[in-house]
Amino acid sequence: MTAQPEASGSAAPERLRAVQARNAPGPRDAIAKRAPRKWSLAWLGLVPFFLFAFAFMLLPTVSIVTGSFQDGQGAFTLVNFAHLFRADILGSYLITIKVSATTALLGGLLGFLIAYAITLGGLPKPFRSFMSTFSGVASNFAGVPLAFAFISTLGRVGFVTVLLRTLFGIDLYGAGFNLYSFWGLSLTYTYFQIPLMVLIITPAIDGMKKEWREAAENLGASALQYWLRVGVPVLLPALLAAFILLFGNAFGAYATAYALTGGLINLVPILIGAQIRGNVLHDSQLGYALAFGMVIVMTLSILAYSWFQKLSSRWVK
Amino acid sequence: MAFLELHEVVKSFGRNTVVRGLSLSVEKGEFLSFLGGSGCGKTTTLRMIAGFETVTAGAILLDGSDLSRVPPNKRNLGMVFQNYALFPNMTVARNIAFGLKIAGKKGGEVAKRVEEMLELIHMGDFAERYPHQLSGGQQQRVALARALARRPSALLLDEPLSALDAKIRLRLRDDIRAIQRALGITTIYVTHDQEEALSISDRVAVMREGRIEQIGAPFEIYNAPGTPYVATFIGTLNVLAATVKDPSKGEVVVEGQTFGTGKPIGDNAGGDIRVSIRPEALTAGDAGPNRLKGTVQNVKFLGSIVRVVIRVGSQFVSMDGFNDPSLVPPRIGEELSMSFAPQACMVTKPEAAPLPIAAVDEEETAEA
Amino acid sequence: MSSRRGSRLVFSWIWIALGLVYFFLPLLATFLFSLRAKKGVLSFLAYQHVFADPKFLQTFGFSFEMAILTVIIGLALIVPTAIWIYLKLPRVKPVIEFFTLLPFVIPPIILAFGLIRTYSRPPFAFVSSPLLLVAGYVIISFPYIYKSVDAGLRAMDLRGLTEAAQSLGAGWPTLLFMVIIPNLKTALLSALFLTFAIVIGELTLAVLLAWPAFGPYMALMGRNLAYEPAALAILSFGLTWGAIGLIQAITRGRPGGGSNLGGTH
Repeated sequence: MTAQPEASGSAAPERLRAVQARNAPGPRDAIAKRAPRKWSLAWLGLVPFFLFAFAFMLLPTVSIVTGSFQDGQGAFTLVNFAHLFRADILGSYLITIKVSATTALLGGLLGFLIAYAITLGGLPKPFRSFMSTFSGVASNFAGVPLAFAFISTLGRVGFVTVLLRTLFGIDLYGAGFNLYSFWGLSLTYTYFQIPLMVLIITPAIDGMKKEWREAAENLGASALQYWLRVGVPVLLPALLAAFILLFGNAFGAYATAYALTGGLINLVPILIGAQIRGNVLHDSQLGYALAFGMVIVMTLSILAYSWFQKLSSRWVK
Repeated sequence: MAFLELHEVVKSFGRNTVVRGLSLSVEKGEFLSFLGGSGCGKTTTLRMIAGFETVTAGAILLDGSDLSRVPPNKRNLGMVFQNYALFPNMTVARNIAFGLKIAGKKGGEVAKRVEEMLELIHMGDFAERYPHQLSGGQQQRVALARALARRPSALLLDEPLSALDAKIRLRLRDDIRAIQRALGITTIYVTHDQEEALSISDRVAVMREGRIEQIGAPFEIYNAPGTPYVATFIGTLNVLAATVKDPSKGEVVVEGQTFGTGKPIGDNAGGDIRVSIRPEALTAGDAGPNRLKGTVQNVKFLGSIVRVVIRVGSQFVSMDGFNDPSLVPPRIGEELSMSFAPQACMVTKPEAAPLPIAAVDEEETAEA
Repeated sequence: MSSRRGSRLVFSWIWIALGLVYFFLPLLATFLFSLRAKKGVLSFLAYQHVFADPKFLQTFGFSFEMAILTVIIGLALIVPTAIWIYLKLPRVKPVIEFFTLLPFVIPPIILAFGLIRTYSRPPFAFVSSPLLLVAGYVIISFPYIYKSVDAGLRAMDLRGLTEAAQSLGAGWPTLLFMVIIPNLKTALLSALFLTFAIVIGELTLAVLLAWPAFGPYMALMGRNLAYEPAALAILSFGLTWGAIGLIQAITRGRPGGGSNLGGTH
């Protein structure tokens, strides 16, 4: 660019200085003192919520914990915890853990496969929203109606039982199957575990970048190699988190077991229920210890769950 | 025969045709860029070469053999994605080693190659880091190393720098070019950034609506654009409405001011035309041979370039010059004269009609 | 390449088919079972028995009332709180969210136990008040109500609308009733239907606190009768499906649809 007629060597620095002077911080730029934050009033607005949560959620839970450390007269004791190690109580915990772990695994695996099918499986779009809605409904279909449904299906004169006998000559009950047993209960629980898994794991699968698959293919990997080396490892934290959630879900379940087996199978929730209702084994202090044990299990579950969730979100953004 | 050839490649998604009969020859060791706006088909074409999209019609040949039968994991082409796509569960070293492990290479050989690659991208200390611990630029470099580790026959890059900050982008693109030169690997690079394409490519293919508008060296594309689309897409361009004054002498009138364009115009006197001039072809002053007078509307500092926007009648002309701190920029409202050479003018019909006679040196225009 | 896509598709269809069979077979079986009350003939006799039973209407009505109370109290508690933390104390949000998720961790059996223990002795001896049941229900539905409301608030850019309304001179009541609530309609309806679905069939709290609710009624039927329970199950399922279906219908296409994560209780 050629110089303008009135430009001289000193004009430019002068203009620069003038511009700098104009933009220098002045009195009006002085940082205004901020008014002190009105803390107390804002917190007041949360009182109703916290009051309610405290009164009807925290207090009851804490009272269970304190109750487990007390005897019938209210004195401090650890006797209830000793009772937890009675053979029958331990057996109860064991079977509850078995049911929870089994249904978490079954529900987790099948739920994952279904979730995979509706996300990456190449199915037409409407399928996904249908399965999501259905999963939402099915995961809520628990408790008494579910028990009835399975009785109608796999009970002694259930639909499938009869069908298998008349069409295929298979005698389920003769072969030792019983709906009101461990496997019957597990099968029933799995009915809501699968959709719960679908709902939980679908976002995680969505979060997997399709470019990972393409990059792996580009580098020579087959589909199996991709899943083994990249897909499953990346999903593992999310899968473990989901498994733990399913486990906790089954562990605390009362209604379905109650409606299906009526107390036949001594799950921990059933045992607790029996204490509350004052049945033969009525020993409410023991009930508190049982409940406390359950609270421990749930707390450990939720901690493990959050840890795995955090891990998962680091990779699958 | 060229190393990579595309013959009349067509790609349709249902009734939507995204790539329309594209033909192309890429030489071994060449760095070719696909340049265009979104939807022009550049990424789709790249993905067809990589094998992630099927070819609706036409053929893709690599070193003479047809690629359409070959699944993507057997094509031995290295691909770099826009969002890096590093495997989050693996360290940098294991990411780079991935392709080698799949190919069944032994541990010692793999380790040696990984080290070579880390040296190439200057990230020797990062071997045990995980992708989420790296910046965007670092991740992309690892992605590049990962793609090159297997010594692929060609390198495909899909807008690799779009997700990065401007400064990193500049540095990384030079690195990519340097590595490509050092390895002599045939490279196809997709981008929407024309400055990027021009600065690192051997040839640039400007794409539009599924076709190649023009393909050529950056110098040609910029200085001798084959179509008005290419002219306006590449760099900045002043496009002025003008009327023909004397067709045989190539004289035109812009806002009442007359000048010559150096070559005859295939139109009648009084005809409506467009005259295009690059901003850097204009200089301030009366020197001529062509002159345009106007009023300074705006002065923009673009870093090393100072762009003066001058109002000529009802139109605006941008004039670029190098920044010089000792010079005073023109004031807004000042009267200013611009000078330029007749050869700097490109004359076209309005609405992107084909160029008139003898306008441009013979260059490949849109590939059929 | 199409063969790879093809095999993936086959794989997907297999699992979807299996899943659908697993889900619909019990429903089908239950429905058919419920039609078998009259020997040798398919009829709706079981349903007739159910509807003719006065206890059915009593218990269903009771649970219905409980559900309404739960919805009212739950929304009255959570909606203002959610809005409050959005506008005034955003840093407290994680704490509130934690509290609303706690009910997932505390199974209803534990909650029932704790409520009984805490509130069966003076000075808080209202274990025999139905309000305790409602309180328990509110706690159980905390996560669902909060998630719906939160999604709704997030989708409506609460802060932006508030600032716009305030800059135009609106006071708090105007803001609440003319700006926020109307935009929350979808989320509120979601929360409503979800809570209903949960409360109507709830068993644990109802049976342990000894209330004549629909859940215990169904369980009682299951002890003694064969076909009526199946009919009840179908009705219950239809109700849940209807509620969730309604939620999906009103949230379709609109941002702020609530989640319908379920579980067992």
